Amino acid sequence: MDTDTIYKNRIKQRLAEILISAWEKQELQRANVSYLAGIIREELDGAKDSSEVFEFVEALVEEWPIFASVISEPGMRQLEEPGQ
Amino acid sequence: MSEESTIAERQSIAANMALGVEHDGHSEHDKKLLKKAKVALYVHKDAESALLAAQGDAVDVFMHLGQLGETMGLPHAVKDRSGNIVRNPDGSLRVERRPGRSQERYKRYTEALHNARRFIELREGYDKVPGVQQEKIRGELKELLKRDRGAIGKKFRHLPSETARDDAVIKVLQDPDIARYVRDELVMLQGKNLSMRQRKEYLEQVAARAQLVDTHEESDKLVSEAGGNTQSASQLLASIRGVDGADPTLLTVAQKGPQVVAIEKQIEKLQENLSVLQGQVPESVSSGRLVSSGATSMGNEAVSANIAQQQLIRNQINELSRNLIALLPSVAGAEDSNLTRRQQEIALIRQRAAETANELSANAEIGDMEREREEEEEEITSALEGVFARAAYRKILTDFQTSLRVVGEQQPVVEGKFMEAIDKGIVNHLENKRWRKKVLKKRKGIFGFLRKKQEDLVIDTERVRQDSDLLFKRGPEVLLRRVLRGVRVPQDGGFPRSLTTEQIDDLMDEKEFVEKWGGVVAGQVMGRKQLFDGYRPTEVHHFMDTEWGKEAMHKAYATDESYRAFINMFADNGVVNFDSPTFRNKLAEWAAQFPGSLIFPRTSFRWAADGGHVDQIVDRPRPELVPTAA
Repeated sequence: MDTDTIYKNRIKQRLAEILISAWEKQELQRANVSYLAGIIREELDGAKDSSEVFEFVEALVEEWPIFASVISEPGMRQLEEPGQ
Repeated sequence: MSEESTIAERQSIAANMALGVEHDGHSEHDKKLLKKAKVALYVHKDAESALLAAQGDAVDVFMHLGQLGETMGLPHAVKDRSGNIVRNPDGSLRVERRPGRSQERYKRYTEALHNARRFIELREGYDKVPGVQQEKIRGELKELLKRDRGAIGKKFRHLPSETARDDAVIKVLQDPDIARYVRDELVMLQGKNLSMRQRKEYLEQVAARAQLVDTHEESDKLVSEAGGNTQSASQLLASIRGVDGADPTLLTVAQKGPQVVAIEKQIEKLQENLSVLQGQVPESVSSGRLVSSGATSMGNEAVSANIAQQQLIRNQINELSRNLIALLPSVAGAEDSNLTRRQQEIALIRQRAAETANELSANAEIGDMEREREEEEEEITSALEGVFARAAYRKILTDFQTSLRVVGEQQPVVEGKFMEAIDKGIVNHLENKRWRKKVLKKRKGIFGFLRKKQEDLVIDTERVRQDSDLLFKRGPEVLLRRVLRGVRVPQDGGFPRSLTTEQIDDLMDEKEFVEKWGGVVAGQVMGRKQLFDGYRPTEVHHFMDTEWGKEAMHKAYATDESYRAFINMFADNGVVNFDSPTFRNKLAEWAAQFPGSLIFPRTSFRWAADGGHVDQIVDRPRPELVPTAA
C-alpha cells in the first residue's frame, strides 16, 4: 500500500469517528450526517494524492469546524516518514 | 401571564414543527443506522462501511427529504379567530403556506420528490416518468452535456442531429444503473438543509416577536388599569394623534398657552409625516406580519431607509414631548388631574413609539431571514428537480473515465503539447508512410561478398489512387479521418501509439484543425496523383462540382499568382467564371490533352500557411498554351 493510500485511510477513519461521535451526541442533524458521509467518501475516493486529501480536509474544516481536530492532531497533517 | 406564556410556548412549538426541527432523541431507524456504523467503525475498523451506514439507504433519504419538504414554503400554523392553533382530526397541526410562489414552490418540490421516489423505490425508471417531465429531464441533460468542455461535450455537440442527441441521452437515462446515481444525488441534496444556526436564529426572532406582542398587550392592560378608564393604550394614542374623529385635546387652548400649542402642532405635523412614511411601506411591515420576498415592489434598501426615517421622526417627537412635559407645570390654570393624565399619555406615546420601533426592527430582521430562507428553498427545489439530469451526467462522466482506463488511454494533461505532437505525427505519417512503400533492392557484391539488401521508399501509386478516389467521392474530411487512423503520437509516457477513435473524433471537431490538415492532405494526394496519372476530364468536372473543390480553386486563384495566370488562359472573353460550362469544358480538354500538368490548385490547400508544406512535389513543366480554334 502506498503512502498516499495509507494517509487517505487514516484521514477517512478519523473523519468517520468524529462524524459518528457527533451523530451519537446529536451535535449534527441526521441529514447533515448523511450528507457529510457522502462527501467524505466521494472526495477521499477521488483524491489522487495526500495533498489533495489535505486540501479537502481543510475545506471541510472551514465549513464544518466540528472536524477541526483532524488538522491539529499529530500525524494528521501529513503522513510522517518512518523514524520521525 | 401563564396564558401568555402558553401562547408563546405554543407559537414556539408550532414554529418548531413547521420548520421541521427534530425533537430530541434518535428515531428507531436512526438508532439502527448508528449502531451499524459504530460496529463497523469500532469493531471492524472499517471507515468505509461506517460512512456508508451513516449515509443511510434510499428509504432514509426519502424520509428526510420528505421532512424537508414539509418545511417548504414557510408554513405556519392555522389559528382560529380566538388565536388558538387549529389541529387536524389526527391531532397534527393544520399548516398553511402563503399563496403564490411559496405554495407553488412547495408543489414543485413535492412533485419532484414523488418522481424521484417512483424512479428509485418503485424502480419504474425513466420510461414511466410523465412525458412532460421526460422532455424536461432530456433538455437539462443535453444542456449539461453541451456545456461540458471535455471530450464528452465535444462528442455530444457534434452528434449529427438533435434526434441523435436525444437518442444518446435517452439511452443513458434508460440504463437501470442510473438509479444508483440518482440516489447519490439525493443523498448530497438532503445535506443542503437549513443549518441549525440559521434555524435557531429564526426561531429566536419569532419567539422575540411573540414576546413583544405579549408586552404590548400587557402594557395596554396596565395603562388601562392605571388610568382608571377602559381606553386602551392604542385608543389613547389614536386620541392624541387626532384620528378616528376623537377630540385631539384634553386641555383647552387657553389652558395650554401659545408655547404648548406650538409644540403640539409640531408633534402633530411630525405624526402626520410618520403616518405618510408608514403608509409607504407594505402593510405587512407596519402591522408586524412577516414579509416575504417579492411581496412588495419596494426594495430592501428602500424599506430600510423608510424605517430609519420613521425612527428619526419618533426621536423628534420624543424630544418635543420632553419639552412639553417641562412646560406643562407652568401652564396657568391647568388642572392637576389633567396634567397628571397628560404626562401619563405622553409617557405612553414614548413607550409605544419605542416598542413600535423595536417591533419594526424585529420584523425587518425576520423578513431578511425569510428572504434568505426562500432563496435556499428555491435552490433546494431546483436541485431536486434537476436530480435526474445531474445523475445521468455523473454517470456519463464516470463511465467515460472507466472506458479510458479500459482502453489504456489518458487525456493529455497539456492540450497544447498534445496538439503539437499530433501535428508532428501527421507530417511524419504523410512524408514517410502514407503514400510510400518500401521496396527491397539488392546490391551485388564482389564474388557474392558484400552483397547488401537495401530498402528504398518509393511512391505507393495504388494507395494514392485509392485516396484520390476517396477524396473525390467523400471529400477531404473523410480522407483526413482515414489518414489520422495511421498517425502515431507519443502518449502517456512517451511511447508512440495510434490515436483512439475518441481522440480522432475530438480532433475532427476542431474546425481549425480540419481546415488546416484537410487541405494539406487533399493537396498532397492530388499532387501525387497528377504526377503519374493525371486527371480525366470527368474528374475535372467532378472536382468543380464539389463545394470543397470550388472553394480550393477560388482561394488558389485569389492567392497564387502562377495559378491565376494559368486559369486566366481559359477565360471566356477575358472573364473567368468558374461556374461557366465553357470554362469547365476548356479546363477538361486541357486535362485530357496534357494529363501530367498540374491543373488543380495544390497550393490553395495550404490554408494554414506553414502547416501546409509537407512534401515538395515537383510540378511537371506546363506546356505552352496552344490557342484553340476559337
